[in-house]
Amino acid sequence: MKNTSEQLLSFAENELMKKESIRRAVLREAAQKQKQPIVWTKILLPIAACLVLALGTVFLIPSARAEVLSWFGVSRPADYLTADPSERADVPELDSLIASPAANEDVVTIPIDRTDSEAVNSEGALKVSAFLHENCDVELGEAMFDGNTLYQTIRLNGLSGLYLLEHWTGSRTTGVPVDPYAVWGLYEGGPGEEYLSGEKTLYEMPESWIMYEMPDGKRFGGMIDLTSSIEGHLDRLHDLGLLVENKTEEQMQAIDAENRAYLAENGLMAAAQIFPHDYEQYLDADGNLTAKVYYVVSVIEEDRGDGSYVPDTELYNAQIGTITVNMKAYQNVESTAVKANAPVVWGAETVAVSKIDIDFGDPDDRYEDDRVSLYKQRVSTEGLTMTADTEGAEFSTLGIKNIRIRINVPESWTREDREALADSLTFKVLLNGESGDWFANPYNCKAEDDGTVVYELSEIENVPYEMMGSIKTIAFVPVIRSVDTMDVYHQYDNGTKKNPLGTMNPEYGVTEWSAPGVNSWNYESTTTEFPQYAVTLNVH
Amino acid sequence: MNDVTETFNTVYDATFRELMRYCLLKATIEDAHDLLQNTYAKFYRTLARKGTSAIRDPKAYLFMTLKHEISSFYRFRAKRKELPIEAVSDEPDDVSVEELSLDHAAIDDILERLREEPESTQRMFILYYGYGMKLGDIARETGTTATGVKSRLARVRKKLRTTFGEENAL
Repeated sequence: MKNTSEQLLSFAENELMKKESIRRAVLREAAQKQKQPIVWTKILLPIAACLVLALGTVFLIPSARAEVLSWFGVSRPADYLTADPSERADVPELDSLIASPAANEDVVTIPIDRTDSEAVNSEGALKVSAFLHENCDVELGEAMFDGNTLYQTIRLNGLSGLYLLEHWTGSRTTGVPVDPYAVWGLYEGGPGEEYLSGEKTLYEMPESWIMYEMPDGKRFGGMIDLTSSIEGHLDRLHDLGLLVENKTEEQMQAIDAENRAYLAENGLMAAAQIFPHDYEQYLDADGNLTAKVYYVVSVIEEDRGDGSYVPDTELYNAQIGTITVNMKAYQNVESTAVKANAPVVWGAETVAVSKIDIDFGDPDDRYEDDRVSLYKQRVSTEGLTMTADTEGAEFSTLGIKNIRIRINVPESWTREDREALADSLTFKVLLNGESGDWFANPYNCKAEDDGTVVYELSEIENVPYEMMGSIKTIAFVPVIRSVDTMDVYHQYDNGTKKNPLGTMNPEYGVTEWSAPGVNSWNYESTTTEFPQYAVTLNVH
Repeated sequence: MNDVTETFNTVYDATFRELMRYCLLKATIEDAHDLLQNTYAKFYRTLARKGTSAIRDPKAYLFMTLKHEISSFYRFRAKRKELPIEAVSDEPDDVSVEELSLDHAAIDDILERLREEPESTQRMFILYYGYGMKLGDIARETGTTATGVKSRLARVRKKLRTTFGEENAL
């Protein structure tokens, strides 16, 4: 049985989902974004050495706040909304976008009553539903729409948010006990002997949503997630050594005790990110969207193994209020003009540019070798200019967006040279001459047909709200990283590495080789960096 | 960077099948490819920025990320069309995986034929025979009916019998 199932699953992995193709695409994207792992770097100073020394080498050191934000995958608006209002940064422009929920007099709670349902044969469904009914004290919070995303907060009082917390801490007290044989396929090789033997109980965890319902019944919503408001609690669990894999029963109990104690004192502020669509038809003349807001909790269904099953994923579906959000207010957020200084002329020096192209071959043939081509060239930067294009740029509380940097290269450069520059170029961002958590996505850089190289910036990320009002200058410092050596290795599933191709020392021109197509391969490289003059924008 | 890639590959191999199952339930195969790639790409970026020890529970992180990806990818679940109910006589209600008795060559042929089926049928076949899910569970998760799932599987089995003969019957 298992052998046939295993063959089918392998077929699904390799033929349907293209597992290795996905892996390679992720690693390739990471390699391009990281501009190769730098083992060691020679930094050649340009002629204006004083300028380079002043700028130094910019390191992005994630703050605890930025780390938590990236951990949870939530954005700053949700972080702003869920912060204690008395502790929020003073950002009046954001406050003007915040909508508060209406009074709850007309709220109708629609709990799912399963007591008379055949589906409630499952002890697990009763257990979770009872917990939610007994511990469901939620309040609709504030909301904000920034033109793209609708952020809706919810306050879960007492133990209401315990299940949400358990997603991240690994404890399982709000989980639904399931038959391990019924969910065998969810676990690689099965759930484990301790579950099959009955020594341990296997649980599935609930998940929750905030749903906006329009007058005609149409709904759209987003999944509820934690925000950085609980970073202190998670740091405490980490310091206690409880946030580990393969937790013991004692550790699970300790986490549960810590979670309950924390929630009893603080409750939980959470938020959902909603991407509304086709909502314009529901706006009133002033751009307001009014919706009933529902709190929905569901759990993955499971087969009890005796032919019965839970027919409905929803464990709780309650209207928790109504809210009116102005979906056009973001347009009133003042955008400050950003003006570029005169074009920057790079000094006359010789730099090396390089570009790596990887042909992953036929994705249906795992054993076909990948073909790698590295183009490297010395080019002169004499006559090269760099200009910031700020047409359509936005500088407001909602972010620093839509800036383009255009590089006009000397006529002697070939298209390959320009493509290599695009591949080699990255920018470091200075605000008021200083580095910090902020960064620009280095991915959007390409050689255009008109002979230029254009770097398109969608947004400078991680700029603190409270800093926006004091930013006077934005500097983009270009850095060219050219490959000197490539150490190509073949990485096996067990983590061991083999170096089948050795260290490549690409010459100027084109160097090609084949990399093993089986499993994954990767490379380490050494590079030479060529920092250049920054282009600066002034904020008026 | 080495530690990051190493950690990524380890977690990738350990979690891919679980995430794949969730994708097969919630998305088309074509969309699932992008969803999984986006999910794992975010995971890699977090590892690179925060370090390999920063994510305490990689599986939980990946599932949460994947769910977010799906929620933003699909605005809301759309009801799928009900399949026409085909008369498939003498078909048992359920064919358990234990009853599959196929040699290696037959499996390859069957998989080759499976590729010619509509992608929704491929998903259901994998969920049923690969993961051992029940018809009703597949129906609920994919937004169709148990009868619809049953008829698709029966149609595939019928084609395979016709192609490969009774000795390799499912």
